[in-house]
Amino acid sequence: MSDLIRTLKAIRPEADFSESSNFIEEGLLDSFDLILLVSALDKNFGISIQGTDIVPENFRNVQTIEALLRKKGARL
Amino acid sequence: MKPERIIIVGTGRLPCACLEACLAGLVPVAGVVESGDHAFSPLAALCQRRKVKYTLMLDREQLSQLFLSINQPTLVVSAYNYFIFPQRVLDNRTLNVVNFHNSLIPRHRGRNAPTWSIYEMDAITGITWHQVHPVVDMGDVITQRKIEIGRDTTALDLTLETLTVAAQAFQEILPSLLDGSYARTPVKKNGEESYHRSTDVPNGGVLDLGWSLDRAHAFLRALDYGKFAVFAPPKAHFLGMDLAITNYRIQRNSPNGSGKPSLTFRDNQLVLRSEDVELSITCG
Repeated sequence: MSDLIRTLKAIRPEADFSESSNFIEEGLLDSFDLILLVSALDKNFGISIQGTDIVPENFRNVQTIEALLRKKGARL
Repeated sequence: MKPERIIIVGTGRLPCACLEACLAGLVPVAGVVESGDHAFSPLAALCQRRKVKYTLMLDREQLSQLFLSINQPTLVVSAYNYFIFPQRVLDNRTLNVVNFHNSLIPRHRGRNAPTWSIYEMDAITGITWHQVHPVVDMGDVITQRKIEIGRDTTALDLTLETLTVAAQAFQEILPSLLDGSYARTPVKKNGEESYHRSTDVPNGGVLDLGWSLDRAHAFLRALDYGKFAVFAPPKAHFLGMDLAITNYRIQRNSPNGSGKPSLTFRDNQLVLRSEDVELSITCG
């Protein structure tokens, strides 16, 4: 399991993130989950995601989150 | 009046929990109206999965017209909903509107109650389900649940906890809402009343460096919604400088603690010390 999936599962243990192509539209993550996720990603990956980055496009699925992490300088 | 149907209005996870509670109890829901910021709300997806009619409606006049058009006994569950029901809607006698509020009313009525509970260093706060009344958050209390505020609890933590507790409470009161047997207790005016507008900010958003360390920490936690921009970042004024606070950390049992309160500023860090506690405040 990747660090990202582990981080997601820590926030929503019951959700199957690998089966979803759109976490927001499919209701796997809501705004509170995202805020917790962003804090966890900052801490776990040593980056700083800005408030302006918290848009649905960046959190649709594992691939878009990984793209955001790379943009912020995280090593995956 | 026993409702013939239920409409849920609000946004985010609480209306989702209310919908799930209704469906789990085989209570039909006529519709769900999303009345607030919906960019990250799971409500539309849930309604689609559960085959419940979903409407996104942000315009207050449209919302009023919707509720005015109802002509059969309807329980309206207002859950994390910022639409204020105007008098003319409440005059529609076919509606029974119950609302969630994230404090123990009459304390901290209005907006951002978790912020004010923490800022005012309340030991206990809670949630209220109440009948909607023309005076905001002053309707008869249906149920209240207490929540202890921990010494490190942030506004975000408390907001999340109120939503969890509210969902549990709703599940418990639902049968009585449906058969009309629920309790209705007038709000106790006990001298603890307070009302906060959305534009109100604790101490104008400025950390008072003359505060005790506990008070300063409470202020910072009260404005801490993680990366939600509920308020502008807090500020501090120090030696003629306007400092924007970007982070803070408290360390108890600190080896750097001092017997008497002290304040230092170095490398963009304000450090407040008192006995064995150190509050480090990072400024941008």
